[in-house]
Amino acid sequence: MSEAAVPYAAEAPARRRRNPAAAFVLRRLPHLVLIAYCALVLVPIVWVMTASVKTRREVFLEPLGLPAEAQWGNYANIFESGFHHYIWNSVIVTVGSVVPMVVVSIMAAYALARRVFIGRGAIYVLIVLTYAIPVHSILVPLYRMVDDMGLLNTHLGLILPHIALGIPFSVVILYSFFLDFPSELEEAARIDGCSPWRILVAIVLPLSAPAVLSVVIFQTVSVWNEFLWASIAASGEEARVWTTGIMQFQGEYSSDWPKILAVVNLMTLPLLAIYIVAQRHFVRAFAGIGK
Amino acid sequence: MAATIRRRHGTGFDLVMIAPALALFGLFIVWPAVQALVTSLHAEPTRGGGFVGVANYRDMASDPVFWIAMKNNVLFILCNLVFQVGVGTVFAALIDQGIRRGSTVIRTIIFAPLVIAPVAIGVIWAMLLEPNFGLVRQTFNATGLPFPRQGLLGNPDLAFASIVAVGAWNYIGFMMTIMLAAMQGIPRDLYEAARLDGSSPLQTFWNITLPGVRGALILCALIVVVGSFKTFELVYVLTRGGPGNTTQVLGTYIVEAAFQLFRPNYAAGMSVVVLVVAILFGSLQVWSGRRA
Repeated sequence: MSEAAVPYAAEAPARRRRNPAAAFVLRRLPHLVLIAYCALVLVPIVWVMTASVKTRREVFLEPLGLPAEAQWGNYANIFESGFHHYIWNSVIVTVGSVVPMVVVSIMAAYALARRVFIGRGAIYVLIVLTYAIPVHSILVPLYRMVDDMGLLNTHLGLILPHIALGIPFSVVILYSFFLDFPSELEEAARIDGCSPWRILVAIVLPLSAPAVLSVVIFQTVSVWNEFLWASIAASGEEARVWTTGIMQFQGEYSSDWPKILAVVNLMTLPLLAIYIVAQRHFVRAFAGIGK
Repeated sequence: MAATIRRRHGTGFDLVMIAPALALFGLFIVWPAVQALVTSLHAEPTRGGGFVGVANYRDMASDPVFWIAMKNNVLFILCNLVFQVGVGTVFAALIDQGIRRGSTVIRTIIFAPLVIAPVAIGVIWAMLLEPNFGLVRQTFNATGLPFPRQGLLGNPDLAFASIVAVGAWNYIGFMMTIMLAAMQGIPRDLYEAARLDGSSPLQTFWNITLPGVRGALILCALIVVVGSFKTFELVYVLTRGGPGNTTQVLGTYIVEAAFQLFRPNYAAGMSVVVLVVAILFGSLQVWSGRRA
């Protein structure tokens, strides 16, 4: 914020003839528009933070004020109502989905990008074609299948479809990264007698960290935030995750906004904090989509 | 060279590499997709489940709610293109060309809603838009603007627009960030040349900025088209497709048909329609990738 205020070059000539007051407003217009929009983004976020420690009365009567006394009890209620089980389930499902998803996607993307085998082109096209399919386009058969396997209301019943649905995206991004990867390194290693496994693990992977990190961030956020499949396949208590838990919570405490917002805040703040610290990686992870 | 690799290691390595992804993908995506098509050609289990040909698809063609959902999905795509890509691009240009101070803070804030879960965003905005006590109602009252009695989400004419607005709140920063990265890649001397030619800021935006970010615009449009077509959470949490089905989208209607109306095979038929469109988008991706 301490950068010198360099006069902006492109605006000077066009506005030379206007009166100074209008010129001032015009010059400030970009700032005004953006700051107004920032307020629009911040007000709901700040509202959630403050409302989560208010009494029900304060939420309705003084929506923008600070609470007379912070009601930390709203947070204690999260544990009393057992919500932490749902958070734990989310952690298991997210880690259990993202790790194998990324491993099998790296393997597949590397083989597709580097190796020559029959059906390679067809497999890649099939994977890309399905990258846009939403879970609701296969919802009913998937539900029947997971039911037949006896996996409803289990972690595995969420994890397996999450892995599968994440594969096309991950493969597409990693594939394009491996294609751009200089193959001379691998050639040299091969001539030195490295096995293809060692080439992948010891040479390609360490240099692929940015692409892998992008995929991991993107898929972690996606699985952590997933709601639809979880609401269908884990509607019971056992494997319920935080997104479906929050809807349950909302139903139970419908008029007790502070209690609901405490959960929302607890689930939102950590991700926001990680994003602010690792902003560059987040932006790259999300903007890498479709490349 | 490739031939050497194959001869030396055989295809065992390739098979091991590709098999796990392919197995999971085949079992949990391709097979259900085929099943969706097969079951959509059968009667509902409660009615014997016999083969009925395209009867479910004929029902769909005469089901007004299906067409509302279809229309809303298309409208979502169009509105989101205008509000997310359009406004995101304008904001990016404002930051790129008009701002020296505080641009990092502004970028961080505007991007932030993207990392909030859609369900949480829905819960938050459902409260802000609540018809009696919501902050939006209180703001309307304070400024003397008339507020619809059923609230914005309960009003058939305003509910859809409200969801679009919340979606824009969620994604504008994302689009802005992609566009800004592209704009920062435009050589500065082009702007200098335009300035010397006496071009106005609007002309500069139109003649230099926009042509310079064509690739990023296509990427943003693709992301928004695919994302809007997948819309589920925001609609589900904010309106459940109501009032009176006016905000129904294919995602919410498929879930309702399958699990509330107990017409799973009819729902499977609708999901086949979604599948076909999604695969069309996928081929768009292949095509745009080939061109790039």
